[in-house]
Amino acid sequence: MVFDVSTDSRNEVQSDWGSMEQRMAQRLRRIFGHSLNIRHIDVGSCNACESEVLSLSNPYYNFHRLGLFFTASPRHADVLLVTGAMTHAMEDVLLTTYTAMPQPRLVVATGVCAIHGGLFRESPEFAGPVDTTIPVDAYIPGCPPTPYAIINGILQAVDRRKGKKPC
Amino acid sequence: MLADWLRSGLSSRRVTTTYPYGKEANPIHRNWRTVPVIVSACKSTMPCRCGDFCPTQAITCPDGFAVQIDVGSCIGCGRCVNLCPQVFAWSGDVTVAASGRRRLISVADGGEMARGI
Amino acid sequence: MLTCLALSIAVFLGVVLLAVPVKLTAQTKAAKPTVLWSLFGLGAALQASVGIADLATDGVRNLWSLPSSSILGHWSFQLNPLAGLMFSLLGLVGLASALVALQHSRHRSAGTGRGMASIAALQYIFTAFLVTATNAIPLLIAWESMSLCAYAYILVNHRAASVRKAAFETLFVSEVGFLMLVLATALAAPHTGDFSFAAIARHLSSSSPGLRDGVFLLALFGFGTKSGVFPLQLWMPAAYDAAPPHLAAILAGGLLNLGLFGVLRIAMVSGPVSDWVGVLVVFIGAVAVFSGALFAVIEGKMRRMLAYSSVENVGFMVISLGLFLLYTTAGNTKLATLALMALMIQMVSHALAKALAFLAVGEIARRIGSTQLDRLGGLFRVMPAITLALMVASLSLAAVAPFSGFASEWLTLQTMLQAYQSLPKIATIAVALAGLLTATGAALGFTAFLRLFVFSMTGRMRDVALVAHFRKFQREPVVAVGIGLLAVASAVYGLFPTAWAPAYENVVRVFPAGAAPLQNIIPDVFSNPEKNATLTSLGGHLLSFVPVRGFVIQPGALVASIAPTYLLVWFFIFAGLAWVLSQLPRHRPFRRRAVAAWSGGRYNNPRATQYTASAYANPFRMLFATLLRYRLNRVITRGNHAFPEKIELHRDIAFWLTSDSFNTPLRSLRIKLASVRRLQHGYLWGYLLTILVALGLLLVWAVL
Repeated sequence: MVFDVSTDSRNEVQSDWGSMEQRMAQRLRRIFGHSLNIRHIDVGSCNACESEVLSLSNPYYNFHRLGLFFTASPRHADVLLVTGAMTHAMEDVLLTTYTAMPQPRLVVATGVCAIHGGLFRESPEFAGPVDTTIPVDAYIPGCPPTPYAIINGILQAVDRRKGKKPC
Repeated sequence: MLADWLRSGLSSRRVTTTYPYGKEANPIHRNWRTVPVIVSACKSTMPCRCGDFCPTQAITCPDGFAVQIDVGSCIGCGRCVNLCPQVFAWSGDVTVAASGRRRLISVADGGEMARGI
Repeated sequence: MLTCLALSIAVFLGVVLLAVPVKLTAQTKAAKPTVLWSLFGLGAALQASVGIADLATDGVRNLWSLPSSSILGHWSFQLNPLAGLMFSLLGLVGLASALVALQHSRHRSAGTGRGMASIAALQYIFTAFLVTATNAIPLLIAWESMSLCAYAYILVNHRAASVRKAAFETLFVSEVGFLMLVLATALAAPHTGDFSFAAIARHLSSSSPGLRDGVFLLALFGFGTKSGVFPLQLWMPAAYDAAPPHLAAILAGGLLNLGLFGVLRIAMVSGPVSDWVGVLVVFIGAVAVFSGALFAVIEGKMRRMLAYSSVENVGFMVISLGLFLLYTTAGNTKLATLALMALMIQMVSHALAKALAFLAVGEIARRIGSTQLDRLGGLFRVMPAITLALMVASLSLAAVAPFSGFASEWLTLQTMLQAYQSLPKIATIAVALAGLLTATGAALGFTAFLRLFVFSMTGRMRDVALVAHFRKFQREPVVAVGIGLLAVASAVYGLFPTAWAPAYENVVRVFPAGAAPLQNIIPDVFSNPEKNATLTSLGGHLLSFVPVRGFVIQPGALVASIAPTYLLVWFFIFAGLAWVLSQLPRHRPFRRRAVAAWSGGRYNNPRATQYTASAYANPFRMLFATLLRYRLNRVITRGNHAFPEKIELHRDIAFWLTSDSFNTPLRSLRIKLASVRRLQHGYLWGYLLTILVALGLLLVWAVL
């Protein structure tokens, strides 16, 4: 495999869904103390990434059993999931939302538009990749990325906090 | 595609899919086109043309015959796979994500396989 | 005592005379308003000291009397502890108002000129005669004059049409009340034409119970117009909103009590009334408590809200009065005394706190420019002293322990709960039902003051335009002294309610019926700990160095006791403990940083996204929607139904407690009576024909 997956799968072939959930819950509890709350913000997307993000909560992917939940207020959030090519209008809003989050906080840039600009890179409204405004912990390429990739990206971001102090 | 989901769900009496680890990749995902990989180095003697047809300039030729693909800019149009099937192929990986921006860029120069990570 | 009172009246007369611009010589001119208000304050202070001195020492003192004449009868004026109570309240409130008006007259606020000072002084002269009268005629004359002065208070800003309407309504209701009082006097006086209270008492005691009931009810509603006894409170919301702050304080803190004083005076002479009168009075009070509190919760203007709160508090006083009547008729002097004590505590606490609230809200109006709760916010930062004053007033009026409102409402409710002991079954059931309404009303009243205080003092100013309006006002020490005086009086009165037990005893002794001693109600734990073993074992002997009988109010052997002073002491102890604990060093695993308020990320306008007072009261509007006839009208002003561009929302509520509730019946009455107007056709022969017909009918009737 060329690209990163959850580091554990290198050594063990996980066919047991249940144990993955268990390890996920343990890891989340150790770092965050509770289930992971994700706040999604759309800084200028075409809504394809939003479709994929929304489908995370449908029965096929069902990310709730992993302990991942959407939340409305950034004050309650641990992860900021950013989708879309950042426009000038949403730059300040993105920064305000990020500042409103309490630490520890993670940012996951979802979709090629958030990472690089994608098709909209030449547009006059495009204000740059998301990591020019706020620090990003994980990148999920794809146009749009699959829900599996989004889960993977969130796990990657959580992995980065492993071993660090609360804040 | 919905029929596939229905068939899979009805046969296993569980709709929720498993996370596709390694060998446990779901046959449904075989047809999904996510991002391309570089399968072999570019053996063309002509100056590099791949970068011209990538709409987001995800594919570049840094020096000479080396080919670099930045998956973070790839929108999955598939032109590279269609025009240069010797160099590019669909990765078949539906779980692409990385925790560093540089990890999304992989380079293949003469003689060596695609090197990423 | 007499000299002091005469001196105060002389001082007030001086105010009136000095205000008149009489040119005696070329140099004289009318005195400046500051001088007039200082003299007024002096007179009020003298009256207050007279009142307090009389409350402290018992006794009925004859002050002076006019020589008996055949036309006027025997007019004499007497000072008794009840009159002393009125003097002290009026004097204290008058002093505070005078101090505020003194400073405000420097910049010529409305109602601080010479004219108003002299009218206020006249009113104080009239009320001095009113409370000391022992004859019905001077009482009525003084009452009517006092009403006219109150009418003048409301008319200060007479250029506004709404103010004139409010003043007219006040006058109308006052005159209706006066008519009822005249009727009551005519019914109550003996046929000899002697209108003194002694003669009236003798006449009523020997007449039928129906006459007694009728006289009492007429007097209740007649005097009740000044107090806002339901349903005669129609004029109060608009009038209290229209009057300038210092005069509204006198209206609400001083003149309101005179209504109840009048009713108590009649209760003193009328003897026992029937049970149904007592039950009716209790019910009127309960309805007033509930409706006043409900409208206070949903009202958006601070002064109107204070008026509704006055309606609620007067409702409590009327309940106590009704219970006093019921228990007197049933012969239970102990509970009758308790009811009377509850009435007195409520009266004093309401007078002080309401006057304080009106003065504080007046300051807010002057400095900020608005008293609408939806526009205010964050005033704690710009005027911390007024915040403190309003907090003291709100805590008292909201009946929060250990302030004074709590003790009075507690005692009222306890007296209602004891109805089963001595009252007949019907009365017990009726009082219990009234108790339901009262409890709901008390809870709503608390909500109303919570809303008043929180939405004006905390948060941020909701209307940005008002921020610019607020100028840095210079320190006004005299206003601060006036408001501070009332705040300290209100707080001290509430925190030590048992300290005034001798005064209560003196007042109760004035009533022929309620003569039970207060010794059981406020047990003397400090001097006799052995006799009150249970209380001492529960801690009732603490703070025995304070020179009072005890700090516990115990309505009865099986009835709950309260001791607000201990509550205060323990509050301070625990607050201090909490403060000490908060200062201890502790492990903080998280760094702290201050961030802006989160208001959605896009429009960072925390002012506009704040909760408003109207929103807070919305659940109450919806809960009582049928009662209030709450309707939300949605009108599309631009665009059409499919594509609305601009929508206006109107909220419609039936304000039962104001005169608006009479608009529809009056209109239909006018339409019906339009046919009568056709008699005014203007033809001479028509009028002559009418007279002829009327005379013919009378002749036929005389013959038959």
